[in-house]
Amino acid sequence: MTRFFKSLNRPITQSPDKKMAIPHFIAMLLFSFLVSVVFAVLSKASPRDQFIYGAKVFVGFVGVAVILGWLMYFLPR
Amino acid sequence: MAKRVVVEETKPKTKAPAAPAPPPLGRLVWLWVAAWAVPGLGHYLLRRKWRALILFACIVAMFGFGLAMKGQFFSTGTGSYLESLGYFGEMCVGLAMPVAQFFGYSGGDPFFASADYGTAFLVAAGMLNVLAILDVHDIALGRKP
Repeated sequence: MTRFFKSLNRPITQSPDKKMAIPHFIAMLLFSFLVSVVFAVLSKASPRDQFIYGAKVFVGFVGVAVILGWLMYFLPR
Repeated sequence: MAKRVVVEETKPKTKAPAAPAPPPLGRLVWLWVAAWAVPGLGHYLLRRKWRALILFACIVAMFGFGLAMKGQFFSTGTGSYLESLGYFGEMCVGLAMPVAQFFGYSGGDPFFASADYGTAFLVAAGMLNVLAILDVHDIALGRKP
């Protein structure tokens, strides 16, 4: 059990003065998830509709970010 | 010649349900202030408890992650319009920002690697709370269930 929780800490490093340095992709996933949940709750009434809409918004956020990332990859530096 | 009398069938008229009366302005203002001060409180006062809980959890979590990533607290009076806009964006999250400053949050560390993400999280939390306030307004006026 201890090893499981320690393994969850791997992508997140905590410096001695309690800052949270996380990888870019994790930050984007976290942001997209929280915004998707709020959008879903505010836009739809029934839990099923909220879940479906929230999932669509989340996939849209992450998908567009990945696509834009790949488009920028081919731009000259 | 006999006149032809046409009798029109009259359907029983059903009255459309009356629109709910708008709440008094004082109650609306109270709801706006409550929804601004604590994310989800406006929904809680309108008896949308699950919605209130989810909004509170998400917006406060977003703000908390912004603090953990040492996001910057903007201020007015710097002469930069963007910084002033950022300040108002962060203030939209409610009492969380002054409370964080009261408990000693220094306002960010621009040299920290994730500080830019933290700033984005802080401002986005404020913007999400604005959406929540507008939702409270619509529910109070009966435009939404």
